[in-house]
Amino acid sequence: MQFNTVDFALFFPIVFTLYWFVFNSSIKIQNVFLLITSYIFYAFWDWRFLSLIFLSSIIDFLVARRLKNSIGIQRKMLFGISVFCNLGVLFVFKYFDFFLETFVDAFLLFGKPISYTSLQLVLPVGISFYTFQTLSYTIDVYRKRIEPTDDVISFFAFVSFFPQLVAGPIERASNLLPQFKRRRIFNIEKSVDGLQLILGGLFKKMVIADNCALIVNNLFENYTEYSGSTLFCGAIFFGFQIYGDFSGYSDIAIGTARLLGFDLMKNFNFPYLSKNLIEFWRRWHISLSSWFRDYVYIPLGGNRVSNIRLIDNILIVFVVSGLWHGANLTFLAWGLIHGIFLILTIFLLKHSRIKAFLQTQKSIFLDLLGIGITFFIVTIAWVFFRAETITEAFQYLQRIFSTSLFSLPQGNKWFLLFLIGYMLIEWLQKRREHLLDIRHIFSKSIRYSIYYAVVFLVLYFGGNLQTFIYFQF
Amino acid sequence: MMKVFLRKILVFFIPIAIVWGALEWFYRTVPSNYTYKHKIIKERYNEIETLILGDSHAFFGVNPSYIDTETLNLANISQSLYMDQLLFEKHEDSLPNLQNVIITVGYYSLSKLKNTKGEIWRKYFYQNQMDLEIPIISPWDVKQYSLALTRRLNKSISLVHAYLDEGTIIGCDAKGWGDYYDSTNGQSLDVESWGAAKRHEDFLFDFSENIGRLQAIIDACKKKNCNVYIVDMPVYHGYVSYLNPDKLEKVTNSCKVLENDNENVRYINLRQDYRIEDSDFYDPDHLNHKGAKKYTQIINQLISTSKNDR
Repeated sequence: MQFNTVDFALFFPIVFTLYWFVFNSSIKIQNVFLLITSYIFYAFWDWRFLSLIFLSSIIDFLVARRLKNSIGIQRKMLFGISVFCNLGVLFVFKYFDFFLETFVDAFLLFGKPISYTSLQLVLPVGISFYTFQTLSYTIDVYRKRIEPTDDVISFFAFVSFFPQLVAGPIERASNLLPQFKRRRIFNIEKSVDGLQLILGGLFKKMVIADNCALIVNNLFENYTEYSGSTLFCGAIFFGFQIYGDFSGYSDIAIGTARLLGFDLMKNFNFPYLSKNLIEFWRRWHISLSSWFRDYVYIPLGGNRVSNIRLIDNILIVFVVSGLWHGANLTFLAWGLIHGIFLILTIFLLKHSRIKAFLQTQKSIFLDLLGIGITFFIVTIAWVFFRAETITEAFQYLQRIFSTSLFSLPQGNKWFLLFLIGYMLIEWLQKRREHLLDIRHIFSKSIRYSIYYAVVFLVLYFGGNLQTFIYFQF
Repeated sequence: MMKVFLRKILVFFIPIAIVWGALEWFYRTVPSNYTYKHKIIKERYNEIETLILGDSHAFFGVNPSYIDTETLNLANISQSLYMDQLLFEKHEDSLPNLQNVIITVGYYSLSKLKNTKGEIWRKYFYQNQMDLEIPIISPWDVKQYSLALTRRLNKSISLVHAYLDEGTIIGCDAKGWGDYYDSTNGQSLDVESWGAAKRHEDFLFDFSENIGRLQAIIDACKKKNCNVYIVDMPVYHGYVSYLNPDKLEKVTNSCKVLENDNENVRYINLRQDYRIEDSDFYDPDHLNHKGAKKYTQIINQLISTSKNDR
């Protein structure tokens, strides 16, 4: 069940009503209800994979409880079991075929063909998201940052909480789990904020992402037929598609959770207004980048290491992050590009003259220049993210950087203008919580006019139903 | 606090509910191609001798007025062989005088999967307005209960506009022929060919399911002593040049196999017929009025010849 479907438009009001009016007598009952609801929500895709969520939940619940009173080698073994089981399942379903094929291809390069049988398994929706979420719980318990929970229902509901189950935000146990243990009280301001987030999310997904998808699919499938300028616009459209798609989903997830009395972490913070790549990664997919920061980058030594180690650490994080997105060399290349440019940015900003210049010279021109450069790098990297193969990505880029880059792009100019207009709105809203955070507009009629205008745009331009891109991760 | 919230939500949704209700009323009361075709086939059960099935190539390209026998065009835009079979099975027992079934098959007809883009909203109209039981619609699918929810708002608004301007949204004549592709769409056939060919490319080569559907129609026709004409309609040469030749060959061969294996089947391949003129086309893969007349007469002649041969 997707958020942008009629099914969800019927499902959620029923859940909301039952949650607040029927099962509100105790938190335990509400949690049981949320757990059942979440499993039903997931079962709409494929009920068979519920077993994986159940398995992941039960292993981490039991391991964490045992971790509490264990020491030494036993503690390490228990932790190892959790990591092995979680990453093992992820590996089998997501990476086995990729590594096998890469291995076979490598042997083929040396003239040694190997016969093999790939698993060809269907990738369970959201497996990377809930695996990382439940894994972070065990890691935090192992590191003694949080106490293991004894409440099995709360824990299972935390792992499978339907608003963020299939595409995040990847929540930390320290933030979300305690919320399952607190009494939830309906708050009208939070709920209005939740509705604003849902509406803004639907706009991003159905108006921006889905309409970009139509253009992008055509351009990437037939890139040999178009000019460099058109293909460059295609890369920009993909940047907006993935942004609208994923941040739209996150907004709806956060808004939905808010209507149920939960606060999920912010996942996007106007990333295309970032002035450099460091800032971009603080604003884009925040829940994943902070996960990698806390559980990979800092354990590797973080930035309190020599320059060489720093470069290594950043590259490791971005290669892993690339592979997290998918078992394909294109994602690896995407991660590497970000890693390399991030390293360059770090060293550039460390340079004393540049540092001093940026600290003293503050102007909107410099800001826009920074935003433009960052957007350009991110856009070029998106080509690798979208392309089916590395070769295709290079060929696409080769066509972009040809003389036809300076010709007038074909078609879709109005939509490009629309996106520029959208970015202006983001610019105006950049200090607010989210796109439709319009509480500061005092006039009720203006506020409602904005809401109705957005509803109209969603209904009028939406409907070209496309699956959320991040479900495949 | 909750009451205030719910009241606000309800008030907010009132205008949206009114729009939805108005569109639902529009879809339920205004006759469309689906309701109209369903009505005329039922009225003419005892007369119909030739039934035309297929997608837009048949809907716009085969005009029953130029066929000697009593003919009804039951084709529709994006109508798949899946729907053709369901429609045929629904009505076959009520057509006592049926002698011929004409089914158009194009580049993508045999590879088309059920429940793809073409059926995303159309399946609900077949179910609601043509009284078809559609197995691909799940009992849990709520859209089957509201036609207004099945289409994008901009499409619905366009339809309402068309109805207000022209007084009808029926796009076919009394014999079911799509009559609004009168001359050309004003675009260059060469320019449009590439886009049309790309739109029709699904990269699928498995024809087994659709061949099975065609065979089921053929077998049912056999029992009724009825002939089946599988027609590959004329398309613009520029369009053909962008199609995958291997797939085209496979389409041709599959139809030939059906012809060879079944006595009551004749395959009429007009895809690149020598009589085609540019002025016959509305766009690269659809005939206009002139083309429809010309090629329906050719099909009619071939049907008559084929009858005399047997």
